[in-house]
Parts: sequence; C-alpha cells; structure tokens
Amino acid sequence: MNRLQVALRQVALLVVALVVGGLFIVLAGYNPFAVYGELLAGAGFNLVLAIIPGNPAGISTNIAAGNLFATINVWGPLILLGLSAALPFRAGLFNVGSQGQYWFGAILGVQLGITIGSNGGLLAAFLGAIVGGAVCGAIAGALKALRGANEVVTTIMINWLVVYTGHFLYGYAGPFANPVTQQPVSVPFPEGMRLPELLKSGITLHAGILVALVAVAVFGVLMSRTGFGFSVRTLGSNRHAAHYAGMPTKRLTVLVMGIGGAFAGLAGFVEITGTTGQITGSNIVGSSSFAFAGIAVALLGRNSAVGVLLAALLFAALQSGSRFLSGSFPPELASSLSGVLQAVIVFLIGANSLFSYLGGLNGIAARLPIRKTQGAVE
Amino acid sequence: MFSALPTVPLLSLTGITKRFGNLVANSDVSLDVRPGEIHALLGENGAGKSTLMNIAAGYARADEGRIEVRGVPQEFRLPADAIAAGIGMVHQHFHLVDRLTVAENIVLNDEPGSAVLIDYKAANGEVRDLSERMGLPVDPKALVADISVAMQQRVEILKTLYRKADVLLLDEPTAVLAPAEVRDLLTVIRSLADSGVGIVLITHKLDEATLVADRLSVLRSGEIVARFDRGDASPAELAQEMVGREIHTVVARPHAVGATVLSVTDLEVDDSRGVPALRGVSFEVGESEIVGIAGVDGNGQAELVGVLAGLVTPNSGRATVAGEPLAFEHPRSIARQGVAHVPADRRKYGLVADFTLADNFALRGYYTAPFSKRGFLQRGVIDSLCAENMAHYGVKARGVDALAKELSGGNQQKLILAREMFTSPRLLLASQPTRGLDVGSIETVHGRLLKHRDEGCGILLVSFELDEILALSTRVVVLFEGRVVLDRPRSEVSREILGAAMTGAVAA
Ligand SMILES: Nc1ncnc2c1ncn2[C@@H]1O[C@H](COP(=O)(O)OP(=O)(O)OP(=O)(O)O)[C@@H](O)[C@H]1O
Ligand SMILES: [Mg+2]
Repeated sequence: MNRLQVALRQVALLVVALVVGGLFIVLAGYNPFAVYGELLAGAGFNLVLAIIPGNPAGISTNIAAGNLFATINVWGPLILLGLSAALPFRAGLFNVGSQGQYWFGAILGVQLGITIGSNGGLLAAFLGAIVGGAVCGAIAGALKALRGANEVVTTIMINWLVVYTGHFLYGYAGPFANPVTQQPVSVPFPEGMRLPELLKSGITLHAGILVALVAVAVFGVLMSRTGFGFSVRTLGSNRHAAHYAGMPTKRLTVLVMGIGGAFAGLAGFVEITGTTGQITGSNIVGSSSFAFAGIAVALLGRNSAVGVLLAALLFAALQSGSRFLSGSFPPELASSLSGVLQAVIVFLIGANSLFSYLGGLNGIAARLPIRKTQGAVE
Repeated sequence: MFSALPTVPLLSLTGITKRFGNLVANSDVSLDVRPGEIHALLGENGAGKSTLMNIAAGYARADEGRIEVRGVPQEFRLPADAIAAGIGMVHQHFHLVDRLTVAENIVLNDEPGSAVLIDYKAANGEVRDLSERMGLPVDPKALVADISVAMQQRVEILKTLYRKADVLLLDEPTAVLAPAEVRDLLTVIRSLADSGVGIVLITHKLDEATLVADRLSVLRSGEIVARFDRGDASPAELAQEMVGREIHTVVARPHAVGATVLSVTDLEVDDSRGVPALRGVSFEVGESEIVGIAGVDGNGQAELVGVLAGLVTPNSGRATVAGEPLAFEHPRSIARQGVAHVPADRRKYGLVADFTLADNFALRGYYTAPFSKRGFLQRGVIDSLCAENMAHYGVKARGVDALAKELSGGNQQKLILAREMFTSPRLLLASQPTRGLDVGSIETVHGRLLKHRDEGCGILLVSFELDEILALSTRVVVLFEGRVVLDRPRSEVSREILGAAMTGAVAA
C-alpha cells in the first residue's frame, strides 16, 4: 500500500468511528448532526466561518477563539502522549505506561521547580519532567532488555506504583500536600513561573503546544532521517535482522522506552505548568485513560509524526468540544462520547488487522458458508 | 505404465497474466499437469515461477487467465479453496509454526477430534501412518523449531498429503537440501507420481530436472519460451533457454595464499538445545584463500558460522582475525574487524522484508560514513550506492525503493551478497551463498567471489553443494559431528574422499 492508500484507510476508519458514535447519539435520543456540529463549534473550529467576509454565520470571534485555545491547550499533551506510545510502537514495543510516566515526570518536575523557585524553576520543572518520565520508561525497557520481562506487564505495574505513591504524596496530610490549605493538592506552581502565555481571548493559550510541536518535529526527524531512527525501525520490523546487523538491540530497547517515557513526562509538565497549575491527588488516581488516549492517537496516526499531530487534534477537539456542549446534548453524555469514539477507533484498528489477516473482503466472503457449487456457470 | 494417461490434466492453467504495477510477472502463461507426471518449471530468478504457482494454489489471483482442475473451471479466492480442489503447495520459504509439534503442524486447521477438542493421540497416529506410507519418516511429537530444514520440508509435504492433495506444487524444494537428502526427496516425488499424483517441480538444478521430470517448461521474463519432453534437452541446452546465452561453469584458477586472516582454535559450542555442536574445532583461512566447509547439514556448520558472526555464544576456544581476538557476541565489532556475513537464513537475518532495497542495503553500515554523517542518514548516497551495487550483482527490481519482500527469492540473495561485499571485507563468511540462484546468477556470483579472493579477501564458504566446494575452494574442511575430520588442499581431495569423510569414515 502506498502512503495515499494508508491515509485514505485511516480516514475511512475515522468516518466509521464517527458513524458508530453517531449511532450512540441517536440511541440516546439526540440528533447526531446537531451534536457533531456543536462539538466542532465547542472546539472553536467555527472560527473559520468567522473569516468569511461579513461573518454570515454570526460567529462571536472572541468566544470561538477562546474555544480554539482551549482545544489547542489539550492538543499539546495529547500529542506528547501519542508520541510516548508511537515511538515504542515503531520499535515493536508496547508502552502502556504513559500514565505513570506522565505523573512521575509531573511530580519530579513540579517539586523541583517549586524548590528552585523563580530563578530557573520552569526550566528545572521541564528537565525534571523529562527525567522523571524517562526513568519510568527506561526501567521497563531495562527489565525487558536484561530479563526479558514483558513491557506491557511492567509498565502497568509501574503505573500503579506511581499512581498510589502520588496519591499518598498529595493525599490528605501527605508530605507534598499543601501545608497551608490542608487540601489534598500540591502547592500551586507559582504564577510567575508558569508556561508563558501566547494569546488570550477569555481563555489563555499557553506555550505547551510549542513544546509539543518541537517534540513532534524531533520525533519525525529522528525516525526518518537519523541512524537511530533507522535502527528503531529495524528493531520493530525484524529483530533478528537488527541483531545480525550489529544494532545494539538491548540499549535501543532501554532508550526507546526511556524517550517514550520522556514524552509522557513532558505531557505532564505542559498540563501542570500550563493549564492546571497544581497537582491534585484525586486527578492522579482518575487518570487511567491517559495511556489509552496516547495509544489511540498513535494507532490512528499510524505512529508517524504527521499522523500523531492530526489524530491528537481530533481527540483534543472531541474532548474540549464536549466540555462546551449544552442544550441539545447533556454534558454527561458528551464527555463519554469522546471515550466512545476512542474505543471504537482502537477496536476498528484491531479489527482492521484481523480483516487483512482474513484476506480482505474476498477472503471473508470465501469463508462464509454460502458457496457456489463447483463448476457452476457464472 | 504411462500409456494410458488420461487426456484431462489434473491441473491446467491457461493464459495466465499477472501484473505488479508496471511489472508483468506472468504473461499469457499456460501450463498443465497430468496424473502421474512430474512437470519441471524452470527459469531465471524473477522469471515468475513462484508467482505462477501462487496463483495456482490460491495465494494470489491472476489478472487474466483460467484455472481448471480435472477440466472444471475454478476460482480460487483463498488457499483453502485450492486445497479443497486437491492442490497443495510447498513454498520456497516454509509456512510452519515453530512452537507446535510436527503432528500439530500437519493437522492444523483439519484436526481429528471434535470441533473443540483435538484428538492428539489420533493426530500423532495418523501422521505416523501417513509419513511411513509415503516414505517420509518424521517424528510426530518433535517441535518444528528443533528439527532440520530437510525434516521441515517433509512436514510441509505431509501437510499437503494429509489434506489429500493430488497435485503438488513444489517451489525449489531441493534448494535447501544436501545431496543425499535431494536423492531421497526425488525418489519420494517419483513414487508419489507413480501413485497418480501430479507434480510441478521448480528447481534451478538442471541436472535434477532432466533426471526426474517427464516434461519441462522454461519461463523467461514471465513468458513460456520452451517446452521439452523427457530426454529432449540437456542441462546445457536448458540453461541456454533460461538465460538466453551460454553458461560457463566458473573454474577457480589457483592464487597464492597470503598471511592468515582467520584462525580458529579449539572452538566448542552448544546448539540451541544445549547439545554440543562443535567439539574442539581448529582451522585457518588465509588471505586470498577460499576454505570450503563441507559436510552434511547439522554437523556444526551453522554454529560455526554463528559464532564467527557474533550471533552464537561459544563455550570455549579462541578465534583471531588478522591476529586480533575476534569480538565474540558483538556482530558490529566483528564487522568492524573486517568480517562480512552472508547468512544461510536470508529471510530471518539477512533482510528486513518491509524495508526498501535501499534501506536493506544500508542495514549494516547505516550508522557510519558513507551512509550517515553525524548521525544523519545520507539518503542520496544510500540510493546511488544501492543502485550501483545491485547492478554489479544483477539484482532485478523496479528500483531501489521497491520493498525487499517484492523481490524474487534469488534476487533477495543477490542483494545480500551485494551489501556484504560492498565493504570489501578481509574475511567473508558465506553460508550457502548461491542457494536459490539460477545458473546464470551462480556464474556471476562465483566470478565475484573469485575476484574478491584475488584481491586478498579470505572466504569461509559453507555449502552443501559439493560441486561448488570443489569448484571454488583452495582448501576443503569437512565437519562431522562437530569435529574437523578432514582438512586438505583442494588438489588432494576428490568427490569420493569428501563423501567418505562426510559420513564419518575418517580419511585422516
Ligand atoms: N508482491 C509483489 N509485489 C511486486 N512485485 C512482485 C511481487 N511478487 C513478485 N514480484 C515480482 O514478480 C517477478 C517474479 O517473481 P517470482 O517470485 O515469481 O520469481 P521466481 O521465478 O520465483 O524467481 P526465483 O527463482 O528468484 O524464486 C519478480 O520480478 C518479482 O520482483
Ligand atoms: Mg521463486
């Protein structure tokens, strides 16, 4: 298959997912077109309509821009979570540990930043998040390389370890919980140290998206233009050939999981220092969908840089658009719609591999019990 | 007994055309097989033999043409349809499940017992009966991963017979076999044919084809260019038809041997099951010397090459390259010491099937000049070097951006050779370097190996083809049960002496 065909197939997958999502909306008793329309508007995508001379749709540019900023603020972390799954996928490794890597990165970064204070605190948080995420990923990579431990199992184990440690650290009377307010949250990340603001229209667009765009560019260049990317792709396609060719397969395994973890850690950094401003104990526990979102982004984006960008934008729009849904669709249902769509996409991609395994449409037709009698005239 | 041949062929292909993009792999090809006959299908690498058989066995669909079984038109959408029509194929590269037993592989998808529970006892029994009846003895309970290639091939054949195939399509079955195994296989094929089965046999070994086939068809660039009946063509004439020119077997002119390149001392290695495979092996290879390792498969050749290439860990012993200790277990350091390796299993180690030819060409050297600069791949350089070296070895492909899996088997092998020789190594480990190549390509590759030898490269040549060993080697070493039982200059050995040594009748 050439690139165009692959891209078309991904788009087809997306369309099917949206149709299935539409059926859910119908089942809930609402009009899918209206809901999708409002989702798009809620995500701020209606801003393009405002550009039409005379603004016939009567869009409020201020509100639309604010909605778009909110979407972009979600887009950044989703890109980074997508990368944290995509890079290991390229090496044939399955990173289910984005959640743990995200929080360990965030915790290390935030505590380091707060400790260092206004002079270089943000940079320290940035580096701390990279290191924290990388360590979590690399541990799973090392266990795989040295002991052959399955990375799916170890990354999930590390997730639980981090999540409950985090819950304890920021829980009631936890060591890192805010000693002043006695609330189960961290000390607020000082205002002056937050990620810089880029634009503001009711909602602030922060620099997180720039971090993510740089990360995606680094990933793209790394994979397609460097020797490192070449060896990662070889490892993912034929590990025997990688070994034969003298590639350092064990070191690569650790490195790939480490870099994947660093991406997830960066997602935590962007979210905390850009959007939420503090770590909340209960958020840590309630974040099990992070790894799933990253995997869905990577799968839909076929682990490519551009693919991850687009897939992350889609999920960001769903997530942020549904926050602003109202009237025609209750918000409780709206928030689960994005989950439904993610699940359908992951399911379809799994089914798609099964589909090619069965030999495509022809193959499936041939397997059905209805058979032409032998030699029948066509 | 063939006087009463029925006129209706078991399988007939008519006007088959198959295109891959612009490339026409089969062009209006017609071929049939009658009961009781062996029909040899010959042709250069990339001529379209495998493609034609894949179509006949339901693995691929023709763009044009008809398939008939016993005169009834067929439309195969799946291999299962072809199997149901009695057509079984054994591929150039086997399709077995390593972690299942022989019996499980054979009955897979067609198991005795109820729909849910497999009756393993019955399966083992049935497989044992079948294998004995067909003269293809196997151990039903052995794991496929643990048995030799020759055994795996038996399993593939039994798999088709278990499904009651009466047409057998065999794609280069003898390429992976040692001479004695080839003789056994040809006997079995003959007796299968005598029992009424129709057989299509693809092979590059023309003497084999003239010996065993009732009819022969020659494909060139996707078209049938000649057909012969038994006895109507000599191997030389067939070769001429295949490649469109005369073939000369390469004869090695002697060349003075230089300083020692590889020295192996008391090497001991276990195989993957922990059984001793090499028990104290010592020998040397000099500059401009070709040392041929002869011996029946499974006597330690694979482990020897594996250790020297850094893929297998030795128990004890030493090896030096140009006086330096060989960097055991480190394939890249070994490559840096000037050692190249053409692996016997090209699909597992030699190539990345989903990579382009250019990427496969860069597989070894991607991290360093001229393929990379400061960690960045030099795409332009890689593409032009790949194209240039593919031309030296006559690799036929639509371009450097074709995928390796699109290449015919022989062309894949030539690509590996081109890559490994590119670095001008001081030592080449060549395991079955001409396996699967057509006669013309063998001539090219032998010529190339001798040229590198003349330029100073030492070559360790592992081959089950005695002809190849005898044609190229400066010295010949025979391995038997993990020991060197013979190590002599080429001038002091004959086919008979080697044959005796290979069976363990030590010639000393
Ligand atoms: N899936 C594919 N996509 C593109 N080209 C293909 C594909 N399969 C085969 N080809 C091309 O079709 C031609 C015929 O290939 P085929 O494998 O049939 O050759 P062959 O006669 O079996 O050669 P060999 O003796 O080397 O095995 C080759 O040029 C090959 O590159
Ligand atoms: Mg072939």
